[in-house]
Amino acid sequence: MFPAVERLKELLKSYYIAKTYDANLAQSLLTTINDLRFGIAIDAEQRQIFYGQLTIPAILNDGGQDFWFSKNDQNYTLRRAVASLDNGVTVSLINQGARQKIITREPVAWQELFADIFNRSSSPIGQIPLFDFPLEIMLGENEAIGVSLQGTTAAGFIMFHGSVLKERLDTNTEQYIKDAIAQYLPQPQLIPLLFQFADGNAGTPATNPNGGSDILSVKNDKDTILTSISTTAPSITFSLIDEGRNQVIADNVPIRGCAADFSSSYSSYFDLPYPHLLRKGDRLRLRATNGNDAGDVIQYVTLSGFSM
Amino acid sequence: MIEKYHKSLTDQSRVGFLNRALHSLPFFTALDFDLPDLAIVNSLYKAKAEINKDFYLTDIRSNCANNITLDPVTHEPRGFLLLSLYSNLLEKSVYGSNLSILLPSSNISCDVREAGISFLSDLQRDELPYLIKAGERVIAQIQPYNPTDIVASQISVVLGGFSINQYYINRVNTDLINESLNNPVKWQLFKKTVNNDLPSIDINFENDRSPRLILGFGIRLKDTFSTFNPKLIVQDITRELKFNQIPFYTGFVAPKVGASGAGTLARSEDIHFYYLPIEYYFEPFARMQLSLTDIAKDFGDMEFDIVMLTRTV
Repeated sequence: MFPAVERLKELLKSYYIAKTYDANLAQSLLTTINDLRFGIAIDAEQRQIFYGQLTIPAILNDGGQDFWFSKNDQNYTLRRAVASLDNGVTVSLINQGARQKIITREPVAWQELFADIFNRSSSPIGQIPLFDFPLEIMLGENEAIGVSLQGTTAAGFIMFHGSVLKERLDTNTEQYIKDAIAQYLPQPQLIPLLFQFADGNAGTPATNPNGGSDILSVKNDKDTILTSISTTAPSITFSLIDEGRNQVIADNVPIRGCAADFSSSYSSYFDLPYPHLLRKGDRLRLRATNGNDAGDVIQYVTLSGFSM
Repeated sequence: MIEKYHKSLTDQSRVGFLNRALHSLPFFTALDFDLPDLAIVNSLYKAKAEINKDFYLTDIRSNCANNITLDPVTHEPRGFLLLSLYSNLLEKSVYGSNLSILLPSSNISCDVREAGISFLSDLQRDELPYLIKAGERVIAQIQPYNPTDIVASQISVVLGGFSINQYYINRVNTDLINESLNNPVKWQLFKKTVNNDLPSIDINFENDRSPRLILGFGIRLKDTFSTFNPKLIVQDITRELKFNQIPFYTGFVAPKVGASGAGTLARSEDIHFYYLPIEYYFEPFARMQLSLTDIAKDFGDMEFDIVMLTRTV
């Protein structure tokens, strides 16, 4: 969980209790809480989170493969990466571009850098919990992250969790957030998206429970900060779009690199790359293609967070 | 690791945590369901609870997974339960979504796992406080997702949180608190080992002259007996306060850590403590009592440690 959100929880507990015995302390806590909420909301507004995928092809007699990932012409940060690769693969990581920086001096086992979800759907122990890079990697608009792999034989992927940084906020955004904060105190929120497949075959497109093609969340009645994501359908390839902000969060990527399997014994939710602000009245749209999840039953992608 | 558990607490935050402990009480209540064998799909089961005081909900736990069979090859669940939770006065779901939407239980609650259950997390997931007002009822609904995999069972949804409870501090307590605040924080574990075959037992933790905060509980099993799950009431005998009025399974208050491997109640790599929703003020020379009932007698050598994590104020 994000440290600012943990702090917000503790401050709220203190505030509700202080209200009953010390009005001055309660007021001071409320000011701190609202400052923190404002900081979280501005950060969530300024970032456009994304899941970016590098597809690793299967090759024989591997002598090394080079890949690069970039968010063309935009400044961006990478918080963590999740991978599904052969056990013995080694990786070199480099920040390519004007400020070229070598991140790994020697090729290292990929499990040292990326969270491992290779066995997540077939193993009884579930997924390994996600872990972040020691520090987030910040990349400019003319920079890419270069990845060299050695020892790959089977196909796999590397999924980057990051955010694009907006150059500037809309002029009235600050006031909009301040107004929203003044209206209520934060409470837990879950935003579910329900869908189903006609059958369990790979490639079957998802429909909403009524058979229609639009899979949308219910319109939000409050501004909501989303922090984590879970699914009952771990084999699917999915796209996730915030319709209000016209923002593509994930574009046709394997969900197992993004969302926790609801039945995992490590954690039923994965953190989003950074908190995401879903504005009042906006909704999320999901598109999905089946891998091998059950058909003809309702499946869920659930996002968790709190009202801003 | 957030500040309240961290060793480098500042003087100011120590006073802050003490203040809120002096004015609140951790509280738990349970909603119980008796699920029949092969429960019919889409049938709804409801349970209600009334708390009778303003209650801030922060922590929802259930054992929804425990009585659903696993795939013999993959050990993955072949069925699960959908859950919804709302309060009746405002007719509002406690997690903000539409009332009518039931979600997979693990999306709403943390699962308290039983023997052989290798799926669903039993990590603790603290949420932002949600106020349930006095006189309001909390209503939980469950719906079997796959009827062929449900066996007759008792499902509990335990709501953890805190209520407001003023503490009237006397002079002895004031002096001892000031003395404690002038010294560095000391963590201390209280432990009782239980080894008997009685159907019920009271376990007492007695404090010395140091004012402390109780942070959480854990259980360590000495054997891999799988049916260990007595019911429990936690109460402060000195202050005459109860953490729960209705007894519920120990697994909801303390994770049961055993040796790794099949047949254990929880794996040793899982978390070892459940932290209380709010710190509890354990006054000098006070006595906390854990009353265990419904201890099954058929699990052979019953020996276990109950551990209480505390720190000085």
